[in-house]
Amino acid sequence: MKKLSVIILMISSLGFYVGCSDFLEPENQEELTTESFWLNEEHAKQGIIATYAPLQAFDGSKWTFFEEMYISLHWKSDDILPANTGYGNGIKSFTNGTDDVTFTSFWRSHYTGIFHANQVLTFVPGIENIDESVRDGILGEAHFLRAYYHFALLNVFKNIPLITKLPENDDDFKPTQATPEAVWAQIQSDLEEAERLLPDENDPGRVINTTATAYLGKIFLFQERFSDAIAKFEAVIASNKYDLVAAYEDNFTGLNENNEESIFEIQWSQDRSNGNDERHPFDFEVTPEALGGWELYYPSEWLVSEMMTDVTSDGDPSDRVFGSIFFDHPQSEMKRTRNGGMASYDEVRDNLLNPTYFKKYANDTDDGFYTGNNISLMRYADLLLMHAEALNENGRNSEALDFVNQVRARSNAEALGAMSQADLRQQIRHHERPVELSMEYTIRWFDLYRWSKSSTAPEPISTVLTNHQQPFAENFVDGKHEIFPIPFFDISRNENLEQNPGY
Amino acid sequence: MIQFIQTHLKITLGLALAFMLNFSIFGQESQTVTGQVTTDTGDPIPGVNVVEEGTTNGSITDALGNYTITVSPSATLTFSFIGYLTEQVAIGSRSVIDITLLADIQQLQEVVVVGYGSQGKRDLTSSVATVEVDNLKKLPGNNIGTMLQGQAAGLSAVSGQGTPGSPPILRVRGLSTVSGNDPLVVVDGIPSSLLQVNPSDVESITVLKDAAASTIYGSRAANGVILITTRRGNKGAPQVSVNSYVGISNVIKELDLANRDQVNQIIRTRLEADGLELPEFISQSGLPDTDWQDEYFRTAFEQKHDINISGGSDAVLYNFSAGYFNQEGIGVDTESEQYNFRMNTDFKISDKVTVSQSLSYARINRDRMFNLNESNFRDRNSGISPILDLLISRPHKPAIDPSTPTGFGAPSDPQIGSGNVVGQQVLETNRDEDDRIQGNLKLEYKISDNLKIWTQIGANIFNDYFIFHTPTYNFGPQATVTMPVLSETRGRTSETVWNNVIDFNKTFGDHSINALVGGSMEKRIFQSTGGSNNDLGSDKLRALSGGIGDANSFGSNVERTIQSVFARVGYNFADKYMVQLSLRADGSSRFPSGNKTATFGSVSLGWRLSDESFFNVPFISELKPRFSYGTLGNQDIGDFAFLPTITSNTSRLNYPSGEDVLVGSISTSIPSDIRWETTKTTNYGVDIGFLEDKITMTFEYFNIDTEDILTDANIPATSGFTSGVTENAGIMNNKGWELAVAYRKKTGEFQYSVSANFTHTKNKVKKLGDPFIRGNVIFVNHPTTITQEGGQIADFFLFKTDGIFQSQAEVDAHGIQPEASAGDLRFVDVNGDGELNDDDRTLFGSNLPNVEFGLTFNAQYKNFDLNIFFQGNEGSKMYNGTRWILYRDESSAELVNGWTPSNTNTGVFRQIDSDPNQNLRPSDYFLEDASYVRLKNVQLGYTVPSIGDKVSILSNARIYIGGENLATITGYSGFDPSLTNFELFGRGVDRGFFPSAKRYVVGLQLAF
Repeated sequence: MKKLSVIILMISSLGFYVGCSDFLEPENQEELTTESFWLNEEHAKQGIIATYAPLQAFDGSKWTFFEEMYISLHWKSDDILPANTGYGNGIKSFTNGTDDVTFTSFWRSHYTGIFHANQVLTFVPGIENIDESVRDGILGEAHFLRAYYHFALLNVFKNIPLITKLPENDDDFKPTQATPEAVWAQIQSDLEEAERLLPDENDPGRVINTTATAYLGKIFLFQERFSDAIAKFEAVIASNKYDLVAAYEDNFTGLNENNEESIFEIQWSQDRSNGNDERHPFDFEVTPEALGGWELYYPSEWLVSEMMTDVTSDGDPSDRVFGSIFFDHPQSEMKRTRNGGMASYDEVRDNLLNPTYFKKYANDTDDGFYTGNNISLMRYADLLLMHAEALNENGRNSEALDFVNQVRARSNAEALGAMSQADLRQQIRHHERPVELSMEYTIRWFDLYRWSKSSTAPEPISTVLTNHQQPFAENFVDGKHEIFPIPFFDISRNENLEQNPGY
Repeated sequence: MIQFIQTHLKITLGLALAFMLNFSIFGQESQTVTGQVTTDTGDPIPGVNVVEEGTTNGSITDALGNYTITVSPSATLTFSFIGYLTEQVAIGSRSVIDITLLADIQQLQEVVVVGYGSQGKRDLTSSVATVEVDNLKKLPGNNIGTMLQGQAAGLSAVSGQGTPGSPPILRVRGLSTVSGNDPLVVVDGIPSSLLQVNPSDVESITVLKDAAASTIYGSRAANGVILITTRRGNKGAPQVSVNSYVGISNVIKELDLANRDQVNQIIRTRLEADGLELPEFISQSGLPDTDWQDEYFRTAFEQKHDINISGGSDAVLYNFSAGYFNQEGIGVDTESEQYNFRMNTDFKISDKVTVSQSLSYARINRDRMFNLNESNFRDRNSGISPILDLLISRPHKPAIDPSTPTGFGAPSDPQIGSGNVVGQQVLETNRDEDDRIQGNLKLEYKISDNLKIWTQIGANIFNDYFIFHTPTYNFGPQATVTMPVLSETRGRTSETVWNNVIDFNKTFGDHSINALVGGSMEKRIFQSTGGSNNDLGSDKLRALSGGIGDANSFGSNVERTIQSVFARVGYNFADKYMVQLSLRADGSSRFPSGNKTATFGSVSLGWRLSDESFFNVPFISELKPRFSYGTLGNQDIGDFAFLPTITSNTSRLNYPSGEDVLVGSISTSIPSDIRWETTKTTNYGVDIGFLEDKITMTFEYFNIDTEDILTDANIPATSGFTSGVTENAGIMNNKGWELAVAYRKKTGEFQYSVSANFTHTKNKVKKLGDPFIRGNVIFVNHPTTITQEGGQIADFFLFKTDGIFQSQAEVDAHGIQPEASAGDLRFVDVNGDGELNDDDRTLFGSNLPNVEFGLTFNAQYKNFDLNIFFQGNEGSKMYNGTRWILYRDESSAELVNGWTPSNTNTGVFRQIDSDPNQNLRPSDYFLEDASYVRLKNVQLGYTVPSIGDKVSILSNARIYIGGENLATITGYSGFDPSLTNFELFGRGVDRGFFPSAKRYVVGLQLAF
């Protein structure tokens, strides 16, 4: 009997294993879940911040931003001459395959931004504990960012899936490509919704209603809807929120960020507390080795020659030339990396490997590595030039000239006299915009791409590159290289996608 | 009556230091008995326990079977030895007693450790492989995982990516899933890991291969189970043994890298072909011509010393061991050091109650190879392994430069490329200091002769510490540290297990039943704390309190649990017909409510045909066909993978507003309804013995179907997911065969044995959502493999080349490569659509070999013994990503022989910087045969005869010399065909493996 009772005891104790179910429910003490998140204003704010973050790259890496996203567009442009470093070889020579990491990261980062925006748009309306104006503002930002991310993708890949909700089933994970028209329409409606919801003022770097207005103007210009564009640009100008900063250089030094000229700029920071690293490496990428940099790329010879014609009434190079490049001139100077003090061109001339260098974003304000200087996506000067372009295309070339001269005047460049529509078009396309906006993120390539499709005055990119003596121009195939292939990363995972022509 | 006690306590430290403590208390007269113990054929039996009945007084026979024992008058001696019937002899007045021990037929059969118990090998119906531990122990080193390579059929072990001290990749029966393929490791009954077990302490290693054997471990057994038991004490006086060796090692081979002048020539050719400007340094005179492989690799020293003391009485058995191991890496400033202690004791409290205990402590220190991608502080985006960084370092920069503050050289011109792999390795600290405690306590209560119950509590406590420190240095752009950085992380893993088992055994007539029922609970908690400061103020400081820069803190806290009940019943009729059933129900915290539990079961059958009266084949001494079928589970995924978690406060989500950095939080994935992955295994086996078992052979065929495979879903980037989502994605089949053959000749002065094992596995993905295209050589770039429905795991997926165009006419005739010129690779339009694009990638098989094999030869002649071990595979392929990178970066000496109009008889394509033909696209040009045969180990030993006569305290002494990786026959041009990638889908992609070492050792074994 005793034995039996021991056995019974043992067997019944096994029931303990089955019965004790809490044992299998340890709590996740590291992370919140969607159920314990999206409950209050702070959560909404953290969500929208995470929606801005992919502007810098989906993984938050400064290298993904520079070596992949930036290189993907700028190594192709006529204002830049990449050094022979091996970075982006396939991009600069138009020989890339479909699995190149540069544009793949551009693709991934922008779709990550869209996913985050869709989360905000899905969950923030349901938050109870939030001020209504804050809610509207955050939803407006999400609409704006979703529009911006689609806009950038559209101009890089053309035939893109349009994503406006969170994925739920297999079909959502394997979207088909939308027509560019449908994407434009969604971008416009998102921007209009943003314009309606966004506040007049916001934290530094976060968008406001006129940011959306400015981008509406930009997307209309890109679609050659010139009158619509002019109306939006006029509204921005009339808002009196923006002005050109007195010193051109202030847009790039990091010392006067989010200034009155800034419409939208990617925020970076030197703040390293709590493990943060929100810096980028442009200071090292553009600075000559002689000044401690790595000089990954230079201004192209064509750009420099164009800049040399951008002169003051005294015949000296204009302020924007001094602010953009480090060149053979007694007054040209540039800062050494890691806050190493200024160097004049004459001082280091003998040690330079290339005659000219860019100096935008190169200003190092501390002795650490990398920089927190913001990188602009749209400046008021850009807006004025776009406005001028729209006016000119609408046949209002004399009005257009005033805006061009307004931008020139800030840099003390001599005012231009009256020009024909065609001459002013060429002046804007191949002097004013590249000289004012050289190497600024996305600007030049998007311009070249849209002009190549222009209904009034199309310019094949191969022609532009050839005219501007870019190396490898002969490799450029019109009808193919304007856009990148759909990345192999996605083509290989989604059979609903169709590859772009030629790839 | 005062008992006669004699104690010999022999403590030996190291090789040089030995002393003896010997005291005896004589109560009454005593008498010395000597004699020899032999088998019935007259062969001496060493190691027999000779114990005076009723006392702890004992001795043990030496190599020639001789013993000496001093006993009280009219004592009774007990002679016992595993596999022999115990003899008891009253000494009477005799002083010489020779005795013959008879083999115990029942016991002589090998006993095999199985889940929650042991079984006679003759009775096995499932697929179980035992590792010959004696052979294993002849390998140098301290890592059981890597030592298992080629030791058992069906078990594959490769030393990972080869970095010093890196954990090996173990696979039982190939690949049956795309989620985790790691087998479960159980040490003394407690799920654990191999790393901290000293090979010298191992008593047995068993590999459970089919479902019938491993169902009892249900949830995590789908990839097989490796059971390890450690040595326990034997009854008798303390036995002290010491084993030491010292050795040196060298890199197994060096690659043929371009020297300075060759690099200059290659760069010149490439840039001139594009009409580009040449960099200054290639024509600069007076630059160094550094051979970076010579600077980095070195002759490394290693040593290992172990001492073991064991013994016991009727009431207590004990085994104590201590070990020290130190191994320098073959790369500068890398080292691995390990201290091991273990105490195993068994207390027989009464006839019914036994308490057993194991406790081990290991201290593992490792100075790792610095990793440019690992640090938060210099997140250089090289995306390649440090060994590749070494290989592509330009010869134009000096490794050593006494004129710099650090003593290491920097490039004179940044275009030469930054960094100094040797200097950075020496200056930086990447050190692990881990304390690992494993212990268990087991209480066994014998209710009756047939029934016992036991309960066991076990724990693995790991306290891990990692320090990263870098002083200031300047090796050029992107390789400059301006502020000394320190980061420290402390992790604590606490794994606790509680097992309870009822075990029943009964034989009546021809019927024999054994059964067990049990339960198990496991909990694992991992917590870590870390801190860093990006400016310590001075290179001399090594404490975070000295930090004057930005501080950061981080940590984690994760818990997971498993709860199970299990049962096994075996029935055996007339020793001829055997059947076994197993069952396990598991619950796991890794699955959402409703999907947490799963039940796994198995059945196995065996028939000893050779024991049937009708069976009469004279040369076949044993013939036993076996069959088994069963299910197993897999839960090898992340914790809380089913929850839609919110990621917060990381660099990729935070975003500044002005100079302030704001916290970003968002979900990076969506919820999922995952459930257990299930594996169904069928096993057909046959055990055959020929010529009185002189030749034994086991052949097995297995078929494994895996369903609901857990995997990171392969999600298009348009979803915006940056981290994966786990899902039950696919179905796979994995089948193959194993053959183990052994021949033993054990008569005369020359004895030898040969054993060999062969394994073939083949897997097929039967269902899988979207293909996985991976095997990326750098970043997410340059994918080389595909895993898709109908294929194998990680089939090579490449463009197909067809030689080199010899003329523009050939290019034009080929038609599909408009960008190509003479000297470029001709790619095949595989799908014949007249275009060359991604659709022309095609399959080239996988890294999985046709056959993997191990071959061991053991011989003994007089006092000499020899162990030779070959190991290798046939049919494996490797994408030589290292060669690809060396080509890309002008670092391979082969490029000097690139195609030119005047050098057309070459296999190397033309050199042009822009590579318009994309000669470097992923193609079979870089795919190589990685079959190999390797002389893995040789050991020659000599046992000093009658050492006891010369040195009284010694009972046995053996010296040996050995070598590892002495010769490899292979067509593979990289460092080592035997290495493979940790990443499953990157199997067979050589992304810059750390090369293996060639080792020479000399050692000494002493018994006291």
